[in-house]
Amino acid sequence: MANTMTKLGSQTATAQQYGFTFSSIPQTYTDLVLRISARSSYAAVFDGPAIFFNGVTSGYGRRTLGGNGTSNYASSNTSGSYLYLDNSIPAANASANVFGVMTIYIPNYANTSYYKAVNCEAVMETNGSASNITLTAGSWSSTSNITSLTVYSGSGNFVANSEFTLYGIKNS
Amino acid sequence: MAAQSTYTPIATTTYASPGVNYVFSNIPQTYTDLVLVVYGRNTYPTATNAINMYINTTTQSSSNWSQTNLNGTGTGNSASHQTTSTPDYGASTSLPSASATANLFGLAEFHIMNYASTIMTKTVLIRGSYDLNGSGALDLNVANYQSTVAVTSLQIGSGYGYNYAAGTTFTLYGITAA
Repeated sequence: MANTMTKLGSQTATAQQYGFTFSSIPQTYTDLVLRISARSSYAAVFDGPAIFFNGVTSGYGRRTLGGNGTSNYASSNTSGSYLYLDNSIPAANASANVFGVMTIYIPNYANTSYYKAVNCEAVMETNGSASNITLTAGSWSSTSNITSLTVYSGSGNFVANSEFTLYGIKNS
Repeated sequence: MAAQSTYTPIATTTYASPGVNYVFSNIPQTYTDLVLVVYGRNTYPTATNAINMYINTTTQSSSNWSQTNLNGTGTGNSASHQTTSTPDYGASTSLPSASATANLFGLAEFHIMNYASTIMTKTVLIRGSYDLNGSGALDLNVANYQSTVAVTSLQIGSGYGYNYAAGTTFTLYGITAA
């Protein structure tokens, strides 16, 4: 049986950059996994990246559970322009050199019959109060197959050395 | 592009029409961990229904499970716990069901560590998420099946025994540590 978690592409910020796009995504896998190691230049403790598919900026919903070790919170969006992943990467006011880690799982991305589901886990540990964990359930109310994926940093830019790697998983 | 990892598909099925429980049997004992990925929707006539995973049984009931749950809805969070002294439902989370927004499916992932061990009880990390563009839920749960028997079969059941909708996909992967 073949090993089927395959790297489709990887991009690294060499300087501050607002967004990254993976285009011409092969339609031959079952699920997509995007792994991110990133930090934002935004003058705050956290920033909230946003993702969207196929260049379309409508129809995104999400439910988020966040925790920082002492308390937790909930947030959500309905019919948004992006799938907003709030408070999920460290920003300029967080401890220096700390990057956040995110895993975004998109099952059945090539399907043209159903809306798209997204699961995101994001963690950052800054050895201080600006640490956070977020879990997000997302949706895109479109039956279009996903051929491109764009990630924006939110309110700042992704700083240099932020990394984005897209994998395909095949179930056969 | 070269393969990067050991996410090896063991078996998969997609329901072409609504179907009841699914069983993965004769699971090879050659991996380190198992990952069961379910992209699914249920037919129970509410917005959500449970998905339950059982080990080494073909009936939708099994004792010796405990589970700890962290749940969020986007407007509130909660935590809960079930021990073996309370009714058990295997390893569980939830998926959208018949009265949820049409065409929306959820994701449930069960990560079963050291499934072939005959020394350890079986720990399962469960992630469940679905967003219905106005409601939804996400779970991060951990379950323990208090048996040292190696896992050779998995059964995926549902709340009240209702069918899974057409389009539901069950895939079992093996993960090798070395």
